[in-house]
Amino acid sequence: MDERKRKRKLSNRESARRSRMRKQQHLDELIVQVNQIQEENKKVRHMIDGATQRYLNFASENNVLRAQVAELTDRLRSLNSLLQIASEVSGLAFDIPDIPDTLLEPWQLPCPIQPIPASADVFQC
Amino acid sequence: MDNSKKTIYKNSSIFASSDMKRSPSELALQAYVASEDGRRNHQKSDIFGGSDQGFFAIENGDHMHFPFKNLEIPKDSCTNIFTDKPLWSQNLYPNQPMVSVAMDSQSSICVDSPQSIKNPSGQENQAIGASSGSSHEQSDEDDLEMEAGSYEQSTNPLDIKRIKRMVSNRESARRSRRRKQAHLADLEQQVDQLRGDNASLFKQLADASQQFKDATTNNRVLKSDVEALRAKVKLAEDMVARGSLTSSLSHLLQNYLNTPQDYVNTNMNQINTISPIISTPGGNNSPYSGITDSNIGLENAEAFNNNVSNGLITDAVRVPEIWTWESHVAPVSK
Repeated sequence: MDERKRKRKLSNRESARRSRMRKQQHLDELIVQVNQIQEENKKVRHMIDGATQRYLNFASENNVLRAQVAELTDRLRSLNSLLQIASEVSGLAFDIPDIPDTLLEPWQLPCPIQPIPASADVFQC
Repeated sequence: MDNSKKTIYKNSSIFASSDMKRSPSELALQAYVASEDGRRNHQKSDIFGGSDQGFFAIENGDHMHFPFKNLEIPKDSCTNIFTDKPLWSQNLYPNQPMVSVAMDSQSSICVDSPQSIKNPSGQENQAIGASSGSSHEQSDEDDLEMEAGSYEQSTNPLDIKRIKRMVSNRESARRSRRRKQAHLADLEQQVDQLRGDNASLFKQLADASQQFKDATTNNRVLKSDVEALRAKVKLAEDMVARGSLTSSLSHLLQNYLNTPQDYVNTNMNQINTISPIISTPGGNNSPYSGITDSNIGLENAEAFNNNVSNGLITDAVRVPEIWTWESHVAPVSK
Protein backbone atom coordinates (compact mmCIF):
# COMPACT_ATOMS: atom_id res chain seq x y z
CA MET A 1 0.00 0.00 0.00
CA ASP A 2 2.55 2.49 1.12
CA GLU A 3 4.86 1.79 -1.80
CA ARG A 4 2.22 2.48 -4.47
CA LYS A 5 1.08 5.67 -2.77
CA ARG A 6 4.66 6.83 -2.44
CA LYS A 7 5.30 6.07 -6.10
CA ARG A 8 2.21 7.97 -7.18
CA LYS A 9 3.16 10.90 -5.02
CA LEU A 10 6.62 10.91 -6.52
CA SER A 11 5.23 10.77 -10.03
CA ASN A 12 2.84 13.61 -9.23
CA ARG A 13 5.68 15.67 -7.89
CA GLU A 14 7.71 14.89 -11.00
CA SER A 15 4.89 15.83 -13.33
CA ALA A 16 4.28 19.02 -11.37
CA ARG A 17 7.93 19.90 -11.75
CA ARG A 18 7.85 19.07 -15.45
CA SER A 19 4.81 21.20 -16.00
CA ARG A 20 6.43 24.11 -14.14
CA MET A 21 9.53 23.65 -16.34
CA ARG A 22 7.42 23.62 -19.48
CA LYS A 23 5.59 26.74 -18.40
CA GLN A 24 8.88 28.51 -17.68
CA GLN A 25 10.28 27.41 -21.04
CA HIS A 26 7.19 28.68 -22.78
CA LEU A 27 7.59 32.02 -21.05
CA ASP A 28 11.26 32.27 -22.01
CA GLU A 29 10.43 31.31 -25.57
CA LEU A 30 7.85 34.06 -25.77
CA ILE A 31 10.33 36.60 -24.51
CA VAL A 32 12.89 35.50 -27.10
CA GLN A 33 10.27 35.64 -29.85
CA VAL A 34 9.19 39.13 -28.91
CA ASN A 35 12.77 40.36 -29.10
CA GLN A 36 13.43 38.59 -32.38
CA ILE A 37 10.35 39.96 -34.10
CA GLN A 38 11.01 43.44 -32.79
CA GLU A 39 14.52 43.24 -34.22
CA GLU A 40 13.25 42.03 -37.57
CA ASN A 41 10.63 44.77 -37.74
CA LYS A 42 13.31 47.36 -37.12
CA LYS A 43 15.42 45.90 -39.93
CA VAL A 44 12.50 45.85 -42.37
CA ARG A 45 11.59 49.44 -41.52
CA HIS A 46 15.19 50.38 -42.27
CA MET A 47 15.04 48.64 -45.65
CA ILE A 48 11.77 50.37 -46.48
CA ASP A 49 13.29 53.76 -45.72
CA GLY A 50 16.29 52.91 -47.90
CA ALA A 51 14.11 51.86 -50.82
CA THR A 52 11.88 54.90 -50.48
CA GLN A 53 14.85 57.23 -50.36
CA ARG A 54 16.37 55.72 -53.49
CA TYR A 55 12.99 55.88 -55.18
CA LEU A 56 12.70 59.60 -54.39
CA ASN A 57 16.14 60.27 -55.84
CA PHE A 58 15.22 58.53 -59.07
CA ALA A 59 11.82 60.20 -59.15
CA SER A 60 13.35 63.67 -59.02
CA GLU A 61 15.93 62.76 -61.66
CA ASN A 62 13.15 61.38 -63.82
CA ASN A 63 11.27 64.64 -63.54
CA VAL A 64 14.33 66.52 -64.76
CA LEU A 65 14.69 64.11 -67.66
CA ARG A 66 11.03 64.48 -68.52
CA ALA A 67 11.44 68.24 -68.66
CA GLN A 68 14.40 67.83 -70.98
CA VAL A 69 12.45 65.51 -73.21
CA ALA A 70 9.61 68.00 -73.44
CA GLU A 71 11.97 70.84 -74.22
CA LEU A 72 13.86 68.88 -76.88
CA THR A 73 10.63 67.73 -78.42
CA ASP A 74 9.42 71.29 -78.74
CA ARG A 75 12.70 72.36 -80.25
CA LEU A 76 12.63 69.51 -82.69
CA ARG A 77 9.07 70.37 -83.61
CA SER A 78 10.00 73.95 -84.39
CA LEU A 79 13.03 72.90 -86.41
CA ASN A 80 10.94 70.44 -88.31
CA SER A 81 8.40 73.06 -89.16
CA LEU A 82 11.23 75.25 -90.39
CA LEU A 83 12.53 72.42 -92.52
CA GLN A 84 9.01 71.79 -93.71
CA ILE A 85 8.77 75.34 -95.02
CA ALA A 86 12.17 75.18 -96.58
CA SER A 87 11.39 71.98 -98.37
CA GLU A 88 8.13 73.40 -99.65
CA VAL A 89 9.87 76.50 -100.90
CA SER A 90 12.77 74.70 -102.44
CA GLY A 91 10.92 71.63 -103.47
CA LEU A 92 13.72 69.70 -101.88
CA ALA A 93 12.64 66.74 -99.81
CA PHE A 94 14.30 66.89 -96.45
CA ASP A 95 14.72 63.95 -94.25
CA ILE A 96 12.86 65.62 -91.38
CA PRO A 97 13.55 63.66 -88.22
CA ASP A 98 10.26 62.42 -86.80
CA ILE A 99 9.24 63.58 -83.37
CA PRO A 100 9.04 60.58 -81.05
CA ASP A 101 5.78 60.78 -79.28
CA THR A 102 7.24 60.56 -75.80
CA LEU A 103 4.39 62.36 -74.20
CA LEU A 104 2.29 59.26 -73.79
CA GLU A 105 4.93 57.37 -71.78
CA PRO A 106 3.70 53.83 -71.41
CA TRP A 107 5.48 53.40 -68.07
CA GLN A 108 3.56 56.25 -66.54
CA LEU A 109 0.28 54.54 -67.11
CA PRO A 110 -1.25 53.56 -63.75
CA CYS A 111 -0.13 49.93 -63.77
CA PRO A 112 -1.22 47.71 -60.86
CA ILE A 113 1.75 47.17 -58.54
CA GLN A 114 2.28 43.42 -58.30
CA PRO A 115 3.60 42.52 -54.82
CA ILE A 116 6.98 40.94 -55.41
CA PRO A 117 8.72 39.05 -52.61
CA ALA A 118 11.28 41.43 -51.13
CA SER A 119 14.75 40.15 -51.92
CA ALA A 120 18.10 41.58 -51.00
CA ASP A 121 19.32 41.94 -54.60
CA VAL A 122 16.46 44.31 -55.35
CA PHE A 123 18.81 47.12 -54.42
CA GLN A 124 21.83 46.24 -56.53
CA CYS A 125 21.17 48.69 -59.34
CA MET B 1 -9.71 -7.13 8.23
CA ASP B 2 -7.78 -8.75 11.09
CA ASN B 3 -4.61 -6.68 10.49
CA SER B 4 -6.69 -3.48 10.94
CA LYS B 5 -7.70 -4.69 14.46
CA LYS B 6 -4.05 -5.41 15.31
CA THR B 7 -2.95 -1.84 14.46
CA ILE B 8 -5.73 -0.29 16.54
CA TYR B 9 -4.60 -2.11 19.69
CA LYS B 10 -1.02 -1.12 18.94
CA ASN B 11 -2.42 2.36 18.69
CA SER B 12 -2.14 3.51 22.23
CA SER B 13 1.60 2.67 22.39
CA ILE B 14 2.30 4.68 19.22
CA PHE B 15 0.21 7.38 20.67
CA ALA B 16 2.23 7.73 23.84
CA SER B 17 5.54 8.00 21.97
CA SER B 18 4.35 10.80 19.71
CA ASP B 19 6.60 13.91 19.92
CA MET B 20 3.60 16.25 20.44
CA LYS B 21 3.66 18.67 23.33
CA ARG B 22 1.51 17.28 26.15
CA SER B 23 -0.32 19.57 28.52
CA PRO B 24 -1.60 17.84 31.75
CA SER B 25 -5.20 18.31 30.70
CA GLU B 26 -4.38 16.51 27.51
CA LEU B 27 -3.00 13.52 29.33
CA ALA B 28 -6.12 13.25 31.43
CA LEU B 29 -8.17 13.53 28.32
CA GLN B 30 -6.14 10.83 26.59
CA ALA B 31 -6.71 8.44 29.43
CA TYR B 32 -10.43 9.00 29.16
CA VAL B 33 -10.42 8.68 25.39
CA ALA B 34 -8.35 5.54 25.48
CA SER B 35 -10.90 3.84 27.72
CA GLU B 36 -13.74 5.19 25.55
CA ASP B 37 -12.19 3.93 22.31
CA GLY B 38 -11.24 0.61 23.76
CA ARG B 39 -14.94 -0.05 24.25
CA ARG B 40 -15.92 0.89 20.72
CA ASN B 41 -12.96 -0.10 18.62
CA HIS B 42 -14.60 -3.27 17.19
CA GLN B 43 -17.38 -1.35 15.71
CA LYS B 44 -15.15 1.37 14.14
CA SER B 45 -12.51 -0.85 12.66
CA ASP B 46 -15.08 -2.76 10.60
CA ILE B 47 -16.53 0.48 9.29
CA PHE B 48 -13.20 2.10 8.49
CA GLY B 49 -11.83 -1.04 6.87
CA GLY B 50 -8.42 -0.18 8.21
CA SER B 51 -6.26 2.74 6.99
CA ASP B 52 -2.69 3.72 7.57
CA GLN B 53 -3.60 7.40 7.84
CA GLY B 54 -2.04 7.50 11.23
CA PHE B 55 -3.72 9.67 13.80
CA PHE B 56 -4.76 13.26 13.76
CA ALA B 57 -4.21 15.55 16.65
CA ILE B 58 -5.67 18.99 16.51
CA GLU B 59 -3.59 21.11 18.75
CA ASN B 60 -5.61 24.01 19.99
CA GLY B 61 -3.49 25.80 22.50
CA ASP B 62 -4.72 24.90 25.97
CA HIS B 63 -7.99 23.89 24.47
CA MET B 64 -9.35 20.48 24.00
CA HIS B 65 -6.68 18.31 22.38
CA PHE B 66 -8.41 15.41 20.71
CA PRO B 67 -6.23 12.66 19.20
CA PHE B 68 -7.81 10.36 16.68
CA LYS B 69 -7.15 6.71 16.60
CA ASN B 70 -4.68 5.45 13.99
CA LEU B 71 -7.13 4.40 11.33
CA GLU B 72 -6.40 1.71 8.83
CA ILE B 73 -7.89 3.35 5.71
CA PRO B 74 -7.24 1.20 2.60
CA LYS B 75 -4.44 2.78 0.58
CA ASP B 76 -6.16 2.77 -2.77
CA SER B 77 -9.28 4.66 -1.78
CA CYS B 78 -9.29 7.78 0.33
CA THR B 79 -12.93 8.32 -0.48
CA ASN B 80 -14.23 6.03 2.26
CA ILE B 81 -13.12 8.74 4.71
CA PHE B 82 -16.16 10.63 3.50
CA THR B 83 -18.44 7.68 3.97
CA ASP B 84 -17.52 7.42 7.60
CA LYS B 85 -17.60 11.15 8.16
CA PRO B 86 -21.01 11.32 9.86
CA LEU B 87 -19.93 8.65 12.36
CA TRP B 88 -16.87 10.71 13.26
CA SER B 89 -18.74 13.86 14.08
CA GLN B 90 -21.12 11.87 16.30
CA ASN B 91 -18.63 10.43 18.71
CA LEU B 92 -16.61 13.61 18.83
CA TYR B 93 -17.19 16.38 21.31
CA PRO B 94 -20.08 18.48 20.03
CA ASN B 95 -18.32 21.78 20.91
CA GLN B 96 -15.44 21.00 18.53
CA PRO B 97 -16.64 22.57 15.22
CA MET B 98 -13.02 22.79 14.24
CA VAL B 99 -12.72 19.01 14.15
CA SER B 100 -15.49 18.43 11.62
CA VAL B 101 -14.05 21.21 9.63
CA ALA B 102 -10.72 19.43 9.65
CA MET B 103 -12.56 16.51 8.17
CA ASP B 104 -13.52 18.57 5.13
CA SER B 105 -9.96 19.18 4.23
CA GLN B 106 -9.02 15.61 4.97
CA SER B 107 -9.49 14.75 1.30
CA SER B 108 -6.49 16.92 0.53
CA ILE B 109 -4.55 15.17 3.26
CA CYS B 110 -4.82 11.79 1.58
CA VAL B 111 -3.80 13.36 -1.66
CA ASP B 112 -0.70 14.98 -0.32
CA SER B 113 2.57 13.60 0.83
CA PRO B 114 2.63 11.28 3.93
CA GLN B 115 5.23 13.37 5.76
CA SER B 116 2.57 16.04 6.41
CA ILE B 117 0.94 13.51 8.71
CA LYS B 118 4.09 12.82 10.64
CA ASN B 119 4.02 16.35 12.14
CA PRO B 120 0.43 16.43 13.32
CA SER B 121 0.70 20.02 14.64
CA GLY B 122 -2.12 22.56 14.62
CA GLN B 123 -0.84 24.00 11.34
CA GLU B 124 -1.21 20.67 9.67
CA ASN B 125 -4.30 21.68 7.79
CA GLN B 126 -3.12 25.04 6.52
CA ALA B 127 0.31 23.63 5.59
CA ILE B 128 -1.47 21.01 3.59
CA GLY B 129 -3.94 23.51 2.20
CA ALA B 130 -1.17 25.93 1.17
CA SER B 131 1.00 23.24 -0.36
CA SER B 132 -1.88 21.65 -2.25
CA GLY B 133 -1.28 21.23 -6.02
CA SER B 134 -1.79 24.43 -8.03
CA SER B 135 -4.26 22.57 -10.20
CA HIS B 136 -7.15 23.01 -7.80
CA GLU B 137 -5.74 25.93 -5.86
CA GLN B 138 -8.84 28.07 -6.13
CA SER B 139 -11.16 25.61 -4.46
CA ASP B 140 -8.61 24.82 -1.75
CA GLU B 141 -8.11 28.43 -0.89
CA ASP B 142 -11.76 29.03 -0.37
CA ASP B 143 -12.02 26.10 2.02
CA LEU B 144 -9.03 27.23 3.97
CA GLU B 145 -10.24 30.77 4.18
CA MET B 146 -13.33 29.61 5.93
CA GLU B 147 -11.14 27.68 8.24
CA ALA B 148 -8.95 30.72 8.90
CA GLY B 149 -12.09 32.55 9.84
CA SER B 150 -12.89 29.98 12.42
CA TYR B 151 -9.42 30.43 13.93
CA GLU B 152 -10.37 34.03 14.82
CA GLN B 153 -12.32 32.80 17.71
CA SER B 154 -9.14 32.01 19.58
CA THR B 155 -8.07 35.22 21.31
CA ASN B 156 -4.47 34.10 21.69
CA PRO B 157 -2.32 37.04 20.37
CA LEU B 158 0.25 34.58 19.08
CA ASP B 159 -2.35 32.84 17.01
CA ILE B 160 -3.72 36.09 15.67
CA LYS B 161 -0.25 37.19 14.52
CA ARG B 162 0.37 33.83 12.93
CA ILE B 163 -2.94 33.90 11.19
CA LYS B 164 -2.43 37.43 9.94
CA ARG B 165 0.93 36.47 8.46
CA MET B 166 -0.62 33.42 6.93
CA VAL B 167 -3.40 35.38 5.33
CA SER B 168 -1.04 38.03 3.97
CA ASN B 169 1.26 35.37 2.56
CA ARG B 170 -1.64 33.74 0.87
CA GLU B 171 -2.76 37.08 -0.57
CA SER B 172 0.67 37.89 -1.86
CA ALA B 173 0.98 34.41 -3.36
CA ARG B 174 -2.30 34.91 -5.14
CA ARG B 175 -1.28 38.36 -6.37
CA SER B 176 2.02 37.07 -7.69
CA ARG B 177 0.26 34.24 -9.50
CA ARG B 178 -2.12 36.73 -11.07
CA ARG B 179 0.76 39.01 -12.04
CA LYS B 180 2.61 36.12 -13.64
CA GLN B 181 -0.51 35.09 -15.52
CA ALA B 182 -1.05 38.65 -16.74
CA HIS B 183 2.58 38.86 -17.81
CA LEU B 184 2.23 35.67 -19.84
CA ALA B 185 -0.99 36.84 -21.48
CA ASP B 186 0.62 40.16 -22.26
CA LEU B 187 3.56 38.43 -23.93
CA GLU B 188 1.25 36.27 -25.99
CA GLN B 189 -0.64 39.33 -27.13
CA GLN B 190 2.57 41.17 -27.89
CA VAL B 191 3.85 38.33 -30.08
CA ASP B 192 0.62 38.27 -32.07
CA GLN B 193 0.63 42.01 -32.54
CA LEU B 194 4.29 42.02 -33.62
CA ARG B 195 3.58 39.26 -36.11
CA GLY B 196 0.83 41.46 -37.61
CA ASP B 197 3.18 44.43 -37.85
CA ASN B 198 5.81 42.22 -39.41
CA ALA B 199 3.45 41.10 -42.16
CA SER B 200 2.32 44.61 -43.01
CA LEU B 201 5.91 45.84 -42.98
CA PHE B 202 6.93 43.22 -45.50
CA LYS B 203 4.06 44.30 -47.72
CA GLN B 204 5.19 47.89 -47.50
CA LEU B 205 8.70 46.78 -48.35
CA ALA B 206 7.40 44.97 -51.44
CA ASP B 207 5.51 48.07 -52.57
CA ALA B 208 8.47 50.34 -51.94
CA SER B 209 10.86 48.13 -53.88
CA GLN B 210 8.39 47.83 -56.75
CA GLN B 211 8.08 51.60 -56.87
CA PHE B 212 11.84 51.85 -56.81
CA LYS B 213 12.16 49.36 -59.67
CA ASP B 214 9.65 51.27 -61.80
CA ALA B 215 11.58 54.45 -61.14
CA THR B 216 14.82 52.88 -62.35
CA THR B 217 13.20 51.62 -65.57
CA ASN B 218 11.62 55.04 -66.14
CA ASN B 219 14.98 56.57 -65.61
CA ARG B 220 16.66 54.37 -68.20
CA VAL B 221 13.95 54.99 -70.78
CA LEU B 222 13.95 58.74 -70.23
CA LYS B 223 17.70 58.90 -70.59
CA SER B 224 17.61 57.14 -73.94
CA ASP B 225 14.76 59.43 -75.05
CA VAL B 226 16.75 62.49 -74.23
CA GLU B 227 19.76 61.14 -76.11
CA ALA B 228 17.65 60.34 -79.18
CA LEU B 229 15.98 63.72 -79.13
CA ARG B 230 19.28 65.51 -78.76
CA ALA B 231 20.60 63.72 -81.83
CA LYS B 232 17.54 64.60 -83.86
CA VAL B 233 17.54 68.19 -82.81
CA LYS B 234 21.18 68.49 -83.72
CA LEU B 235 20.46 66.93 -87.07
CA ALA B 236 17.59 69.27 -87.70
CA GLU B 237 19.66 72.25 -86.68
CA ASP B 238 22.42 71.24 -89.04
CA MET B 239 19.98 70.86 -91.88
CA VAL B 240 18.43 74.20 -91.23
CA ALA B 241 21.75 75.88 -90.93
CA ARG B 242 23.43 74.33 -93.94
CA GLY B 243 21.20 73.21 -96.68
CA SER B 244 17.63 74.40 -96.82
CA LEU B 245 18.22 78.04 -97.76
CA THR B 246 20.63 77.32 -100.60
CA SER B 247 18.09 74.99 -102.17
CA SER B 248 15.30 77.48 -101.73
CA LEU B 249 17.57 80.16 -103.25
CA SER B 250 18.20 78.05 -106.34
CA HIS B 251 14.50 77.63 -106.66
CA LEU B 252 14.00 81.37 -106.50
CA LEU B 253 16.52 81.96 -109.24
CA GLN B 254 14.82 79.46 -111.43
CA ASN B 255 11.71 81.56 -111.24
CA TYR B 256 13.81 84.47 -112.36
CA LEU B 257 14.73 82.77 -115.63
CA ASN B 258 11.16 82.49 -116.69
CA THR B 259 10.46 86.14 -115.92
CA PRO B 260 11.30 89.39 -117.93
CA GLN B 261 14.63 91.27 -117.43
CA ASP B 262 13.47 94.18 -115.29
CA TYR B 263 13.30 91.81 -112.43
CA VAL B 264 17.09 91.48 -112.50
CA ASN B 265 17.82 94.45 -110.26
CA THR B 266 15.31 93.40 -107.68
CA ASN B 267 16.85 89.88 -107.75
CA MET B 268 20.28 91.40 -107.50
CA ASN B 269 19.30 93.32 -104.40
CA GLN B 270 17.91 90.12 -102.91
CA ILE B 271 21.16 88.34 -103.64
CA ASN B 272 22.99 91.10 -101.79
CA THR B 273 20.98 90.58 -98.67
CA ILE B 274 21.29 86.81 -98.86
CA SER B 275 24.91 86.42 -99.85
CA PRO B 276 26.49 87.15 -96.40
CA ILE B 277 24.69 84.09 -95.01
CA ILE B 278 25.90 81.75 -97.70
CA SER B 279 29.50 82.70 -97.07
CA THR B 280 29.90 79.50 -95.11
CA PRO B 281 32.31 77.31 -97.02
CA GLY B 282 30.69 74.41 -98.80
CA GLY B 283 33.75 72.27 -97.86
CA ASN B 284 32.15 69.74 -95.56
CA ASN B 285 30.88 66.71 -97.43
CA SER B 286 27.33 67.83 -97.45
CA PRO B 287 24.99 65.17 -98.83
CA TYR B 288 23.45 67.70 -101.19
CA SER B 289 26.05 67.66 -103.93
CA GLY B 290 23.83 69.73 -106.17
CA ILE B 291 23.91 72.59 -103.69
CA THR B 292 27.67 72.64 -103.38
CA ASP B 293 27.94 73.14 -107.16
CA SER B 294 25.57 76.02 -106.97
CA ASN B 295 27.73 77.40 -104.16
CA ILE B 296 30.57 77.70 -106.61
CA GLY B 297 28.31 79.47 -109.03
CA LEU B 298 27.16 81.81 -106.30
CA GLU B 299 30.67 82.62 -105.29
CA ASN B 300 31.20 83.90 -108.87
CA ALA B 301 28.09 85.91 -108.48
CA GLU B 302 29.44 87.26 -105.27
CA ALA B 303 32.64 88.25 -107.00
CA PHE B 304 30.47 89.76 -109.70
CA ASN B 305 28.55 91.79 -107.09
CA ASN B 306 31.75 93.08 -105.65
CA ASN B 307 32.76 94.21 -109.09
CA VAL B 308 29.41 95.89 -109.61
CA SER B 309 29.57 97.55 -106.26
CA ASN B 310 33.02 98.65 -107.21
CA GLY B 311 31.44 100.18 -110.27
CA LEU B 312 33.76 98.19 -112.66
CA ILE B 313 31.03 96.45 -114.68
CA THR B 314 28.23 98.80 -115.59
CA ASP B 315 26.74 96.86 -118.54
CA ALA B 316 23.70 94.92 -117.17
CA VAL B 317 23.79 92.51 -120.15
CA ARG B 318 26.64 90.48 -118.74
CA VAL B 319 24.45 89.12 -115.96
CA PRO B 320 22.36 86.67 -118.09
CA GLU B 321 25.52 84.84 -119.26
CA ILE B 322 26.43 83.92 -115.74
CA TRP B 323 22.94 82.86 -114.78
CA THR B 324 22.40 80.69 -117.83
CA TRP B 325 25.29 78.56 -116.60
CA GLU B 326 23.57 78.60 -113.19
CA SER B 327 20.22 77.37 -114.44
CA HIS B 328 21.95 74.53 -116.25
CA VAL B 329 23.11 73.21 -112.83
CA ALA B 330 20.00 73.71 -110.73
CA PRO B 331 17.67 71.18 -112.39
CA VAL B 332 20.18 68.42 -111.73
CA SER B 333 19.62 68.52 -107.97
CA LYS B 334 15.82 68.55 -108.18
